Amino acid sequence: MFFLYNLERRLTLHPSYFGKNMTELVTTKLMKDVEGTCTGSYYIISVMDSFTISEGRILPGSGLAEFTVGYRAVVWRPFKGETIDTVVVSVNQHGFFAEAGPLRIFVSAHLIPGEIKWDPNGTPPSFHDEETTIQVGTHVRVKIIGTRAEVGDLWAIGSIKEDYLGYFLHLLPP
Amino acid sequence: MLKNFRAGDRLRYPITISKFLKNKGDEVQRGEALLQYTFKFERTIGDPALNEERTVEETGYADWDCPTEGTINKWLVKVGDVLTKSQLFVAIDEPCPHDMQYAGLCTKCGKDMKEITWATESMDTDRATIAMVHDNVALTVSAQEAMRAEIDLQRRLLQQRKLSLVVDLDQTIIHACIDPTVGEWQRDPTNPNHGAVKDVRTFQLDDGPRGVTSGCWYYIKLRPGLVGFLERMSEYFEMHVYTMGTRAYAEQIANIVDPDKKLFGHRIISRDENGSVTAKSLQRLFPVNTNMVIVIDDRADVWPRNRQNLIKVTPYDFFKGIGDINSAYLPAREDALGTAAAAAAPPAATSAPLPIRNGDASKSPNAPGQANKIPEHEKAVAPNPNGVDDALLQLQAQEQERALEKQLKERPLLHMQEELDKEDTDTAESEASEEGTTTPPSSPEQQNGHSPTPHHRHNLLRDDDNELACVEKHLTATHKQFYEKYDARRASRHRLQEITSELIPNVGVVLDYLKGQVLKNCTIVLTGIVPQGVDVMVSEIGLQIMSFGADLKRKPTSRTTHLVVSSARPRTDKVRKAARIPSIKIVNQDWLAACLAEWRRVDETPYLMDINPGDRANRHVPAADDDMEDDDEDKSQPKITIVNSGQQNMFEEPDESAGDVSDDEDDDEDEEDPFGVIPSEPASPVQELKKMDWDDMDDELAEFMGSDVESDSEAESLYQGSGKRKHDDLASEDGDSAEEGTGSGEEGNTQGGGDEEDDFDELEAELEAEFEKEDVEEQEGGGATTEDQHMEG
Repeated sequence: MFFLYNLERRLTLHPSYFGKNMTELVTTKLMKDVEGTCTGSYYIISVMDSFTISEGRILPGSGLAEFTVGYRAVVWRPFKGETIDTVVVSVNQHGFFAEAGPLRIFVSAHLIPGEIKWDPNGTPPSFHDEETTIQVGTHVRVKIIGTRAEVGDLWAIGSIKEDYLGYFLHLLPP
Repeated sequence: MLKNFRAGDRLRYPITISKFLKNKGDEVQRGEALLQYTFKFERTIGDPALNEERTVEETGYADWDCPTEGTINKWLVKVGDVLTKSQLFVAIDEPCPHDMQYAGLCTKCGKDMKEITWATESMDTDRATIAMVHDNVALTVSAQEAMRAEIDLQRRLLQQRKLSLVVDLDQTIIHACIDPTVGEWQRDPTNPNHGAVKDVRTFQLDDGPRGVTSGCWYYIKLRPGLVGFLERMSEYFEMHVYTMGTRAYAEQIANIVDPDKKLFGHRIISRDENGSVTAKSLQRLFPVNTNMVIVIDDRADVWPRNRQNLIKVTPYDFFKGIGDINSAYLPAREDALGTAAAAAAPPAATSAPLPIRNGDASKSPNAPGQANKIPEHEKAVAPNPNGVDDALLQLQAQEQERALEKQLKERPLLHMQEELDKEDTDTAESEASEEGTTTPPSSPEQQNGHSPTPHHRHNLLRDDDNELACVEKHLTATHKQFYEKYDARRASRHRLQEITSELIPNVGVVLDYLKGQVLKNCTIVLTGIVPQGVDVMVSEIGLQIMSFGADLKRKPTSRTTHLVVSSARPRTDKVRKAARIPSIKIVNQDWLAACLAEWRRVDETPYLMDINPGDRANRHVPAADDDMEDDDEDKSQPKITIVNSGQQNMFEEPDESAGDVSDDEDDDEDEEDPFGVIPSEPASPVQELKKMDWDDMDDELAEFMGSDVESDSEAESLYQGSGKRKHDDLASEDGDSAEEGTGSGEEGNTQGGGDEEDDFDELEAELEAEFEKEDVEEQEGGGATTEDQHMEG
């Protein structure tokens, strides 16, 4: 789920950058530092606005200036029970991996409906029944049934063993 | 899923079960108290200051908390039981066995497996430890799950009458390099190498910022006949790619080799998922059994656990001197059985590979780029059985980067071609100088049967490899043999539908059998092939010879059938010895290579070595014959007949004591005598001296000492790890010592080794002095520059 979130971050600036465009430099550095990162429970998708940059404070010893920047960002946090659209990136006998943006979700064969069978002889190998084929590149709607977070990364387990889940559009593999 | 839980090691044994809080059929949560127990413990009470301390025994009461959630199936203990150590306690019916996990999450119930509470006795992550999918190490399964998956696989393969074939990339089915010279040759139709490189495929690996090598072109040469080979093999085998290159590299190659993904599909495993950077293991893909797996690889030493399943192919060396660009983390190759032509090739061509040996193209550069695709944690999860620490890896990666840049800048191929062109002009002279010597012709063309036309520019690269045809033959033969065996076993059973593991023959055994027939009844001795100080019995080539059914011996005896000689060193002590036994065929290493490649005992005639007439002549000296028989370890033959210039002499073999035999074995270390002059049985050196052919020996010594390649390797072995400068110095010093050696011939050759050592000691002293001098100079130089700076300031 996406949220607008007010965050705060401390940034340091090298003395050689001190000057009139310092605000701009701090903003750029903030974007570079935080956009696309994972804090452990959510991904920071994009920095939006409302920068409140504090006065710079020279750090004793190094000469670097430290700024405290308040900003608003779009963040994405996957929740247990959430249903999301994903693209299959890898298929093996135990299940398949699907990606939703930065998050990689594994759907095990156990959580794939029984009639969708693993076919190792196909080119490429896939899970399929009469109507649906799940192979690399397939778009799949997945329900997240568990997530785990560590600093810097998130993982999730998904399921398509419920109504209205699974295959919804097939695109050719890239 | 029923699982038994143990009481745990942290309790204060002995304990007495006093009361069940939950009974059979009750639903329990993790951390809930299941039973009460009591334990006895001693406590010190009283005031230590008054010396009134005493211990009293007290009884403690405690709960035992549930380590998991589920339904209690059965208590395995009774109220009143006294437990003295941890034992099976309770059987709990769990809703989920957690037997497949992804990055610490159960893939069936989505629970976090890394959670630890006070009640946790064993980690839930231990329930699934086996990574068996190709492209992800974070996905692990339990042993049962792995076995189930594997039985499914075997059943399917048997139905299709296929086997699994694991294929290595670098130097097995392709050869890669990044030397931009190849691109230039490709665009230049007048270049002699144009024909060979025109079908070389290229791709660019651009994966994020890195040094000079960022986005450089990779040149990929497919082994001749590869497409047809893979196509035909895919009917008999399900094929996997297993490479030490990075994932991005492996996928690029797979795209070239198999654009439709029909042959390999997504069955590609690379260094990123291997879990070890020094060894490959079939257990990574087939954790339970490898009975139906064959490997083709150009290196046997990277498969320490799966030698039985390996068909070792001759390394494909198209871009001369480049080697394997993905081998930087592997130990240096030691099994190289160079061809006779290569051994005699110009020094430029043979010495060039040494510095570039570790030149790797794709290694480190890809690592940072890969991070985008494979999350960092998944790499961290990869088991690292060799315990290689990250700092070391970093260092190696940097080294590799440097070597890679070197290949880009120095262009070894261009240099070699220039060298070859230069040599062409000198051909006439060199051929004249070769007259009468025993060394094989120096230009590779002659070895390959192409007679060079004068004034024709020779091409460095040639496209004449037919190894894949041999490999195909071996693979089909193995496949046939395997299924014959399987059918025979199946026919003997009545219940046909049941496939059990004992019904499936082990393809490793089949391979062993087929290979064992090749050199059966051959007794082989090697000389000049295994480096000094390496035991031939455990060397790569030695193991290979033995796996082909030959009897490998350290010394030539009358039972020996073949002596394999390195054409770089055609006159070792063993050659002399073997020359006196007419039944021994003295062949060069190409014979061995041909046997190992073709899996048959090839005709020796084209490979026979020319033996110096002087060596053969030795047999006229009776004393020498006695010597030879002393060496003979074979006691089952008391009498030996030696054909000696038409007449037969019968020798009664002297009784050897057991001690003599062991002595012989002890002597084995020094038998690889690089000079080929020290007698093997120095029982009476003085006596030996009398019948030495001194001129002959001096020639030989001079020849040996004069050759740069030899002295280089000599110096390297003695001064391992010393700087390059030191190395060069040594090479020049070697020339000096050669002169000394020839001059002081009368001193006796038995002291040769000692002299050599003294020489090196002297050298070392000299070098040290020189180093010191240089240091001083450097300091002075540094001082000068700082002075200059002062002046400027």
